[in-house]
Amino acid sequence: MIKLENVKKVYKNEHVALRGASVDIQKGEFVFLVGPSGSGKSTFIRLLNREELPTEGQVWVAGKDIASIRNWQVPYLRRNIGYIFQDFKLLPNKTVEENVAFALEAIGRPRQAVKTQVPAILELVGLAHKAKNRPDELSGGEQQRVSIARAFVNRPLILLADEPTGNLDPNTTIGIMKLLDRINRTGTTVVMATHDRGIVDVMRRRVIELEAGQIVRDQARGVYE
Amino acid sequence: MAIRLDYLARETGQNLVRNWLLSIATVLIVTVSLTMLGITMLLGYYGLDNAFIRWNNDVSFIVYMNPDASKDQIDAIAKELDKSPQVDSVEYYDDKKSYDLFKRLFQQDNPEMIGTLKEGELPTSFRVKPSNPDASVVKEMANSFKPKTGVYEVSFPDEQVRQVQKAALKIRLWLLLGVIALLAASIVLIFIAIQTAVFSRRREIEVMRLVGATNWFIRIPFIIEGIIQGLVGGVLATTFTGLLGLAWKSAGTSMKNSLLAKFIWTGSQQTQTFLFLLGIGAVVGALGAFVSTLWYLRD
Repeated sequence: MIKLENVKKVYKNEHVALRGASVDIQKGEFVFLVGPSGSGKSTFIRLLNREELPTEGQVWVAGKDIASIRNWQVPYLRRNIGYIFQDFKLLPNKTVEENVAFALEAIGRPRQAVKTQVPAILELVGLAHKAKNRPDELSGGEQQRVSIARAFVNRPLILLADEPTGNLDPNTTIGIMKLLDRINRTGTTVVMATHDRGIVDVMRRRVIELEAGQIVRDQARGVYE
Repeated sequence: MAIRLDYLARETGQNLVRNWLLSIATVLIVTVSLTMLGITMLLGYYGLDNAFIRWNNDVSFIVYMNPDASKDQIDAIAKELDKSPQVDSVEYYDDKKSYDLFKRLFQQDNPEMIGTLKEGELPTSFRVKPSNPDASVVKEMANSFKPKTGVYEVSFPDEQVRQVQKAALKIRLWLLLGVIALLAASIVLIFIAIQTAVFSRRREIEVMRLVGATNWFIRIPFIIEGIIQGLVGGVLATTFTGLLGLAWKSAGTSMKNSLLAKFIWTGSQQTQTFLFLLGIGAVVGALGAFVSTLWYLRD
């Protein structure tokens, strides 16, 4: 599903974010990316979503070499990838259901599909009763659930999460992780960058540790350390 | 890719409503630019053209006869002018008419001159209006009368015509440059307006891009917004241009003998101008929005 081969990423300011990273992630895996700030976790995720291109090496996502696909093909690649942000990135002027529907409308899904899929996903994330609320009327955890609903409503093959629990308290974090686990059990590959030692240690999934742009540990059923 | 009409209408409407102040400002600026363009077209292009044609049609040369020319000589010239297919109309100024004209010309500015000459002392003349207004043709025709018996002089205002032609071409060139500048200004203004609209929706655009919306899907509502702003500006400009045109025409009737009164245009030229303004409004709106989103949505 995801493959990195000797990937090096150097930014314009000559900062080296990744140094020869190689990794293979299978369909349906749940992977934690851990490591200190600046270790390359976010760059790793941005490469998978083709927000960045590798300076050297190759990145395959959903069977495609991201460097070889043309710019106009990028949106079609991204339809296979859901993205969850630390700061939720919800649209404040839209209701919960509109925020979720927006993701379907933006890829030109027919109205009927939007009508059926949005209530279903809101049911899944436990927010059907808040469909008409605006984001500022929700708690942080609820906002992240909306963000997850939006990322998953299109049933992507891969779900990328960049510190999704970074702004949440421990109890809310547990709820979000249960939700991500549930999504993962549907066969969706989840790649999550995190600093949260507790959830990594509790969930015992594959852990890839980055340090100064290098993969220093790749452990099945790992812990944070 | 398929884009739902209800989505398009909603997004475009929200853009316009959310940035209503900027939308109004943009429409007003487009209105002013297009009104200036409309007036430039009506007065500076069609009006100038029509005034020039009228002036050309009025171009005449004057065949002055010797004061002692015989009746036969005068009749011969009159006959030749009447027969000529290149002559549209001829008016003979006999002794009385010539003296009346002389008095009229000098009465106001130089009345003392009137007493120096008496009726019959001025040369009689033929005032000719040619059928072909082309200056070179008129000049050639006028010169052909110079050697005729009994002819004293042929007066031909070729220098004035040449100057008017030169001035008209210069004015047109400047107007063309002015129109280009106005259109460029309108495009820049719509560019800025759409850029601001895009900036105010940058979060939505970021989300749209990340969920897999194509650039065209993101761009189209902004382009429609630009077209609407351009078209509304065009409609208002058409109205104002029409009103200003009416005011000009009514003012023109009170200055009938002025050259300015000849700056008129036909109904079909006015319709062409209005359609052009609407078309330009839409094109300018689309172009400004396209360039704006092109810059923002670059990969």
